[in-house]
Order: sequence, then C-alpha cells, then structure tokens
Amino acid sequence: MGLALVTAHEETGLDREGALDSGVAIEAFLREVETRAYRIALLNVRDRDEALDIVQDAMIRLVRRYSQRPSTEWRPLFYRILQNRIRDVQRRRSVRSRVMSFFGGVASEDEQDPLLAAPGPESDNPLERVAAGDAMQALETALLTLPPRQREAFVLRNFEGLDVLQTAAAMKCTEGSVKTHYSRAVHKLRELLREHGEEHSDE
Amino acid sequence: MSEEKLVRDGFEQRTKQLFEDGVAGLDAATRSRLTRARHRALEELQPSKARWRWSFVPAGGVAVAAALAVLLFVHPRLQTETGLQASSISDLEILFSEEDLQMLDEDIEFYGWLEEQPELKGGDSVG
Repeated sequence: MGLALVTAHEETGLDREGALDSGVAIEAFLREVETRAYRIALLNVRDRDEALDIVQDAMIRLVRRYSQRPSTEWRPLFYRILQNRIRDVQRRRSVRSRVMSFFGGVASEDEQDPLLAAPGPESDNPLERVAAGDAMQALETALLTLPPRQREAFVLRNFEGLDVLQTAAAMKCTEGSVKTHYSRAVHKLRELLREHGEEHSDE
Repeated sequence: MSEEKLVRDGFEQRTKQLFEDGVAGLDAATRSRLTRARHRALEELQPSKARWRWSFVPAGGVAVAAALAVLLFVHPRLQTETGLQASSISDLEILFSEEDLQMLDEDIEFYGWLEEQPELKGGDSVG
C-alpha cells in the first residue's frame, strides 16, 4: 500500500515533469513558427486580422490535440492545421460572395477574385513597407494566381523548408504529388515573375 | 529516412529571401498580438482548462451533426432529388459553423496516414 502510494506519487511527479517539458518544448516550437505562419496566412487571405485569427486557431488546435505527440510530428501537423484554417476562411468567403451576389449588387467570384482584388498587406511601419518593396508584392500576386495545391507545395517546401515527406504529410497527398505541384509552381512563378521583370538570369 | 532536402537555385533562393525579409520586417504590434495568441494557445495545457472544455463539448457542432444526420440518413432522397438543397446545406454549414466539423474527420484520416509513415517517427525535422 505504502509502496503503491509512493509509486503513484512518483508517477504523478514524473507526469507533471513530463508535462512541463512538453509545455516548454511546444512553446519553443510555437515561438519559432508563429511569425512565419502569420506571413503564410496573410499571403493567402490578405487580411491582417483574419491571418492572426488563423494562426491563433492553428496554435490552439495543435496544443489542444497534439501536444502529447512526439515533437517531430508537430511541424507537419501544424502546417496541416494552418492550411485547413486558410482553406476554411477562403471557403467561407467564397460562399459569402455567392450569397451576396445572389442578393444583388456584388460581382460573383467568377467575375472578381476577392483575393486578387484585395489590397496587399500593408504595414503600419514605413520601413517595413520599403523593405518589402515591389518584389514582395509581385511575388505575392504571382503566388495568388497559382492553383491552391501548387501554392501550398511552394510555400511549405521553399519558404518553410519542409522536406518532401513532411510536405506530403501536411498536404495529405503522396510524395510524388508534392514534387509535381512544387515543380509546376516554380515553373509558373518563373514565367510570371519574368514577365514582371523580377526574374534575373540564373539558369 | 527518405528526407529530401531542397536544393534551391537562384530563383528559389531569392523568393525564399523575400519571404524571410517579410518575416523579419513584421511590426511590433503584430508580434505582440502573435505573442498573445501563443499564450492563449498555451493555456490549453492547463488541466483545469481541459476539464472545462470537455465538460462543454461543442453543443453547436453536435446539433449541426445531428441535423445533417437526420437529413442524410432519415431522408436520403434529399441528396438525389435536388443538388441545390445539398449545396445550400453545405453553404449554411460553412457560413454558420464555428467549429470546422470536417477537420475532425480529416484529422483522423490524416493521423492514420501519419501512423503509416515510419520516417516521421523519431526522425528529426529538416530545415
């Protein structure tokens, strides 16, 4: 009985210690990805408040559901959740646009893409605006013209540095599909940015 | 492990650098809001928070799921009679659902997929 109590106490202590370690680890992970995730969300939804909401939702869901999973799984899981939230916001917008166009006045999504029509993400900081410059604007615009899966593959592979397997996990598709989407995205972006004068010869 | 690091050519490096510049140039107000969002997420680790959450399982989500189940299983003809109705239900669900119910299924499916990937078990992250 005494031994059982001691063991139980020790286990509880170990659990608490493990939970503390896990908490520290997941905080470090979130700290590492939060600004990058925000830029990715902003790139896709072009609205600062919505982008912040998306990132917060993704962080909450990761902590709530997967904090006990091995930390090696957090990255693909987090980006999977993030992409889901982005798609969710885009779907809602699309539906809202259809409903609004049904009730009159507003152009349907076929006539006007709300993402492309939206102004770029502007910073309150003039230095930031200068630093981002035309090149970033051109890249963001070009990215928005890509099919969503190509855009996801490009962002996850190139911006986030996920390997093919992690990207496949985040996108829930095969590794072959990731390679195809990524290759097409790079090809298309080259064309678009060359037209825009952003591409310098490096081939 | 079948990890494949990306070898970026000049174009890919420049686009990556533009992205990194955008991240580095984030203003203080946004960073502060992100910090608050992180703290909010970490509150989920507190046991009292978890108990509170599970004691209030999303009633709205359950209600929507029940309504959909009735529509689809009790009146299966609805699905075939008019595509419009099905589409309207889907639209309404998207517009008014606070919790993305689809994510629950997606997560389960995704986890099944993830479990089958031995490379992701115990592997290190690739930058």
